[in-house]
Amino acid sequence: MSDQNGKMQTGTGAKLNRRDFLRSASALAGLGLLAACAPAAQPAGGSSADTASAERQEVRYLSWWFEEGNRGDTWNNFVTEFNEAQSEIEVVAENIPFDQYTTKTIVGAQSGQLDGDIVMATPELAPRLIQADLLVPLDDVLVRNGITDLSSAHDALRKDGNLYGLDMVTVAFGILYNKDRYEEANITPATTPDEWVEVSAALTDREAQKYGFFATHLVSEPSDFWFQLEVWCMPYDGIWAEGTTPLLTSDPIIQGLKLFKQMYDVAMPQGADNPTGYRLFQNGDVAQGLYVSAAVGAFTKDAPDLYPLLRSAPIPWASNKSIARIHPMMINKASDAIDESMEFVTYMYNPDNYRRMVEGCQDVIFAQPSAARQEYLDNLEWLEPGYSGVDYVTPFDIVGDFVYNFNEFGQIVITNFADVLNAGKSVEEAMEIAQQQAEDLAERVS
Amino acid sequence: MSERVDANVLSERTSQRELKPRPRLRRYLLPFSLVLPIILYEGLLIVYPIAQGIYGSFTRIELASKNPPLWVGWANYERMFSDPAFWKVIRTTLLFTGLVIVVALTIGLLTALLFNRPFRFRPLARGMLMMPWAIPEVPVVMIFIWMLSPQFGVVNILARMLPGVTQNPQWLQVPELAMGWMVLISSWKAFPFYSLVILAALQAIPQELYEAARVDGASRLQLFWNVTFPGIGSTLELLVVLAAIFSFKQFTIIFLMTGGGPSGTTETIVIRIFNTAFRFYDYSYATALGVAGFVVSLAVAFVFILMQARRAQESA
Repeated sequence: MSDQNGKMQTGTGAKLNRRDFLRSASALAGLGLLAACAPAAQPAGGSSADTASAERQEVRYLSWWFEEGNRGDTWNNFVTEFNEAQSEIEVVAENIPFDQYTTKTIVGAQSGQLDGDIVMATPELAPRLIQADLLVPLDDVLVRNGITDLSSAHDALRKDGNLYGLDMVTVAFGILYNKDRYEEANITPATTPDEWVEVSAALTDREAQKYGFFATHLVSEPSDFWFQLEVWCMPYDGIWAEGTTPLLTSDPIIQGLKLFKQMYDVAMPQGADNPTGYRLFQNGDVAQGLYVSAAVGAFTKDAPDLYPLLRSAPIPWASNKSIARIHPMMINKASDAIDESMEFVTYMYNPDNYRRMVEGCQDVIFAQPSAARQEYLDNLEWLEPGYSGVDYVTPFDIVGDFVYNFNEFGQIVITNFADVLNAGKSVEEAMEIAQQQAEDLAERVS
Repeated sequence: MSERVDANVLSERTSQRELKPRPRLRRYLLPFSLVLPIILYEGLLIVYPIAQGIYGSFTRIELASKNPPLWVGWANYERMFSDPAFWKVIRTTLLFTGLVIVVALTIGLLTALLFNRPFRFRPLARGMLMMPWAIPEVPVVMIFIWMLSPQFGVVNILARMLPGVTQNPQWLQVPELAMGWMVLISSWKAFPFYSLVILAALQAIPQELYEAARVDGASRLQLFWNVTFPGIGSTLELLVVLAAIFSFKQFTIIFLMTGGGPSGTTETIVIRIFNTAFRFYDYSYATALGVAGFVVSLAVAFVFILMQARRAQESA
């Protein structure tokens, strides 16, 4: 008996009872949690470069273009150049795909604060951020760089006398074509919208998978669809809205959208998504498109065989108007590194750096006109006449007060216009519904 | 002797416990601390967002504006019920869900019956059967977008073999075709799971039942209707509920392939919620739609719970 008792006691002493187990487990879990929350250990004897890097103030620069051909390379090189030129600031480039950029920025701003220290903005996003008072004035950048000839497009980026954004790329819409395709078909550029349809039809042979024209037209690519459709108010000199009044049923808009439908019917690879359309253009299977000037530079890298064949056609409508979109660089007011961010923006807007940046990206519109080098422009064979001598308007000029709700407005237009392309609705019928929805939007946001 | 000693020890321990009663707090501390993590998880990541969503549906929120959320009461719900687009979305959701249930479960049942029969390389075939279910949705979408491309798609070659088809069809641009493809792709992606579950149920049916029925002269069809079908009935019931839930919340395939188009033909309620919130930035209305979707999901879950309870009652 005593032996048995002894065994029992020994056994009890050696065994881990439930409570002890739970205590130990809790202690271990607590330690684990502490370890997880603790800052990462610094390696002993790290290199001096690591130490220097750790002391630098990090500046997060958000944009959609760090992976875009020439533009991506140019910007990444400038970030590296700036980081190497001084030892106190480390600019970190963060890429967000274009289709998600605006939504991510707006939702981020709503849910707490604007993300990033330096943010790029589209013409649609910039007024929203300015209106919401989320940005730092940048007038000092102009003073420090002695800039006095800033483009008038910046007027839309001012509030209460302060400037909140500095344009880093202005992209203009123009008709870009493959000169071999024009020559094969013995075609000369059109001078009127009707001629443009005829030219596009003549360049199309659906059986041979050859198309005269491509523009994004799928609702599954909403941002790109509206991005391209917005310019179709130009052929008949229309605007999408005036003040808070949508003009979707106005004659110039109806005519412009009918023109798009004609092109869709006679010349476009119907149902093709944006990457497919781009690829068809690269292969020479699409002869022309309404491309923004910024996209042309990308062909030097993506399609080096096509690039020498690219030419621009004159704007084929009487007003000779097209849209130029400015993309300002802005600084987040909630940033912990405002001064450091300002240093980078100042560096990039130094006229010499700015010129190198524009030329590196193969852009053609200079926000600082005095920085433009004629020799550079003369070397761009595709520049004349489609991207030069055109009367440019900005998105701010064509959507009235919807500039603060540009995306929502655009989604209304494309969703209803898609019914014209796919569901057999007339343009008038679809725009009647869109007009009502846009009026509801105006009421909701007023 | 030993029993007597043990009894004494026990009695001593009991009396010690009576002398030192465990404090109430200590008694409850352990169980509560054990459930705390799951309560925190559920509370922070599930209950709070749902509550926030419900609250948001009674307000007007303008994204990235300086205006604070404005309490608007039932306005978003009034708008929702009077919005023809909402009812169209509900119809589309029900149609899509119903079709996916029928197609996926039918294919799942047929393949399960096939794979229940012995044949050479059956284990390999069963493994391959699971592939559509195992592949992530995004690559599946990319493959199908390529296959259905009106310019390059391989499906066009098959379509051109049909009489009267002289041009490549607009597979995702014609409303009826787009819905058909969404149903087919979603069913193709889902059926292996249903097939596997049905196969397990088929293998649980006692062989004696088949033998007895054969002795009674039952035909193959009679075997299926009178032995197989009742044997897998409860499993099929469960799978109908699961298929309803899975297809109701299907997002990736539809969003990436059609975005809800053309002309809203494939716009189910989850796509509508996303589009309303993140394309039209009508955040408050999107939350009201979200609440509607939540209620429908709850209803389906409730049906499932009722079915479970009924079955438990039957087996008791």
